[in-house]
Amino acid sequence: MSEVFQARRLGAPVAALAFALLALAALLAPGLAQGQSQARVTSRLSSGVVKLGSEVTLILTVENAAFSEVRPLPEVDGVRLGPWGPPSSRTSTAYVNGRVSHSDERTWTAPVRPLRKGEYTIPGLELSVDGALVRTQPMSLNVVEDLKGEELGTFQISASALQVVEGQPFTVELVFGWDAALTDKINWANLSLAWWGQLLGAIENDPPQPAPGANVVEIVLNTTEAIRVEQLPPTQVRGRNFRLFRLVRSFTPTRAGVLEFPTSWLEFARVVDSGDIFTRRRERVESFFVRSEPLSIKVIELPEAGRPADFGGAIGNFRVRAFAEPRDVDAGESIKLKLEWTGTGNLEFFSAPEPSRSDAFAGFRVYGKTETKAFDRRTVTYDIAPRSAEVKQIPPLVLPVFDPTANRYAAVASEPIAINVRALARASGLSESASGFVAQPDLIDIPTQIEAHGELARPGARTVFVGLGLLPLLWLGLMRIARKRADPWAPLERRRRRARRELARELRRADSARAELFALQEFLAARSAERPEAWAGRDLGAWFARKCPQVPREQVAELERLIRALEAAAWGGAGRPNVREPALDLARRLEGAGL
Amino acid sequence: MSARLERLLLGLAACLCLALGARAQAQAAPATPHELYAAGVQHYRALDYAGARASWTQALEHPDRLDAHGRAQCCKGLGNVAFRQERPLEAAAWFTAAIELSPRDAEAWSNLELARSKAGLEPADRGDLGATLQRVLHALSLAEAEWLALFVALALAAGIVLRALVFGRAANRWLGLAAVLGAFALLPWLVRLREAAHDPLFVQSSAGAALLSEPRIAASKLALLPAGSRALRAETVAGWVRVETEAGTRGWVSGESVFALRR
Repeated sequence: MSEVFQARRLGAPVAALAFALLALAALLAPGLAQGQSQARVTSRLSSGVVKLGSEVTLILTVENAAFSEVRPLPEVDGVRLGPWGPPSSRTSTAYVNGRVSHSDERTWTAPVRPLRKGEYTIPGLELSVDGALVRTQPMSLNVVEDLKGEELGTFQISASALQVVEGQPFTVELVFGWDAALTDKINWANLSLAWWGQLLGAIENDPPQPAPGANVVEIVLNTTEAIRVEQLPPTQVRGRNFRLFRLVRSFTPTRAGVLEFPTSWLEFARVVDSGDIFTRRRERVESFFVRSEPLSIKVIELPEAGRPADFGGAIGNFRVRAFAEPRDVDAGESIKLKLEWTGTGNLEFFSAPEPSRSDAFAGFRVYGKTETKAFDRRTVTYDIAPRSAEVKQIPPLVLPVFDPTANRYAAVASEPIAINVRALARASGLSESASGFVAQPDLIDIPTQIEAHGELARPGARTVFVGLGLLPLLWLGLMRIARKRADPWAPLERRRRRARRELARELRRADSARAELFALQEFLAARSAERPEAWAGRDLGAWFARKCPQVPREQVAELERLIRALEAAAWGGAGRPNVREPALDLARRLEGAGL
Repeated sequence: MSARLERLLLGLAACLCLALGARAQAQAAPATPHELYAAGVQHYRALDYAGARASWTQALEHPDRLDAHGRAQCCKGLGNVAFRQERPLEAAAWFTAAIELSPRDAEAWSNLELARSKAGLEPADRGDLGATLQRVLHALSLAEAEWLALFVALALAAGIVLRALVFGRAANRWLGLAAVLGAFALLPWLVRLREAAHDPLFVQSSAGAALLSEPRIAASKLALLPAGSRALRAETVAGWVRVETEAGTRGWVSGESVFALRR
């Protein structure tokens, strides 16, 4: 069988990757759109396969939304959708495993009439939920002309119980297959389960593991997913040998009502792949369809009458076994009490009983518990310690259970376990702690003498006010002094101080007479707190006579000659003079003269 | 000879009288606050809580005033006495008074929380942001907060001098940061300064204190101050105290129902 489906897995890697990305986007989109809302939106078709001429129903449900409204249905070529019918509303309150939950549900339906044969994808439906635009996942619909697979195939769906109470797990078993004579012809199968992942009012439990050694194969689910199912040995159906498969799922209903499993379909076909690695196509050579009957499971409320106060939500038919190790202990020594509940019921979900709340365990100190949960087994290990040597046995631990078969509450109690507790030497047993010591908060005692600290003298509010009030005056005064002293950290003053150093650096970098001229003008500008452009074409003699008369005239004349030579080289095409050393020497002398 | 003997005897008698007088004076002189505190400790150790209460109360009210630490110790001792006498509300009041005097006394805080817990009051330090901020702002006594404020002023002055004469504008950012930090450091002083003029009271009656419109039992009840709450004393009239609640309501409460926290 595995080679039959191997072709599908290897045949469309690109398509599978693309689908995975699409599915991820489809999953994320509604979540993002719903934002902070607690609403849940589901959409499904009453059947994923329909015979041409028949119709299916499109069902859209919004749960726990304050406001919801559908948008117009999309148009699909080959299928007539709608119109939407009026919405139906339902409000329910459920008590499951000790928790009360409320839900509001609004459902719209629309007819879907196929116009011609083919496979169709109905795009995600748009609706407004709590102010956000939500889009559901796309749905696929297969329209076939003939359902001759009814004779060649089989599809049975059954439940462990057709009536359950809230919180009572039940299993749904799907057995399907086709005539073994078609084995050579069939290499592809698709389960079309319209209810898959869309059940409102129930949560899916961990699926039960197939029996060891079972033959597990993978088939297609709802055209887009893959699912592992158990292949059964060849079985006689309607007098012929059939190749059968089984899929089992477990659910826990969360509220009273009816859980609907609409008609499911199995398509089994022979397909051929064509195209190259980038454009793989799969074509059905021959397809057969077989359907199951719809299934309804009635969920009733847990009865209030007779419900024990310590009922922890256990529902089913349980058995319990108790183990304790060690059994020969000193008072206060830890004993591991292990209780194992098995049977049919919500073993994963009920709250384990607490010995510390039971009067029967007053002789024990309970430190805590560890739990392991499985579909068919619940194990809780309690860490307990006998308080004194008077304790002779571990009393029964009682789990209140609702028995759906008898429709009443019952108690599942473990067997008492005899233990031998020895008294500790010089000890009165275990009181509140393992050692018998109990810390009690109390006052910190008074010192015998007063240590002389001496009163901290107050400077007085007036002193503080004066001190703080002087700060602005100090600021104003010192700033005035700083300004008078020509603030050495003012930008212009800092520029003035480093003017000669900058001149040396610029002359070293200069690669033309023009750059050297600019460097010299920059130096003069920095020393005179002006812009460099101000020194272009300036009458140096007049400026120095007016602004810096202390500078000797010969230095001014030397500066004029230097600038003239540089200007001639820069603008007049004269040869570049060697000005670096003379310019630096002149700059030093100008600074010294008070420029 | 007899005259000399007579003078000698007279001298001896005078010395004896002086010695006896000095001894009597010494016995009659009031004990120091430290001695009263030590006596209170002895009474407390002997489980004579009434004696301990009397000694520590005298130490608190002694003319030779103990320093703040000493007064806080006396308040703590009186709180312990009240706690042992199963009066947790009064104990909480005494420990609160001790914390008013010595704000960072961890032992007083511990005893206060224990007393408040026993009295059914919520913790004095709830641990939330508001309570933590209050505790930080009240971590210094008024004198300490004043010295801190002066130190801040001095540090800022030094910063201004350095900025103006040494570092110039390069120090502007640091000086600005110092000014902001200094402003925060001034907050405890400003808070203490505002509270210095207050006379806080603690409602020590387990049934709370009825806030009356006038100082008479039959007056209209304006509000009920819950046990452990605080109010500010406005004035006192024989047996009655005019208070202002934290909500700003003014009224009269019985003098026995409130406890003065300033000691």
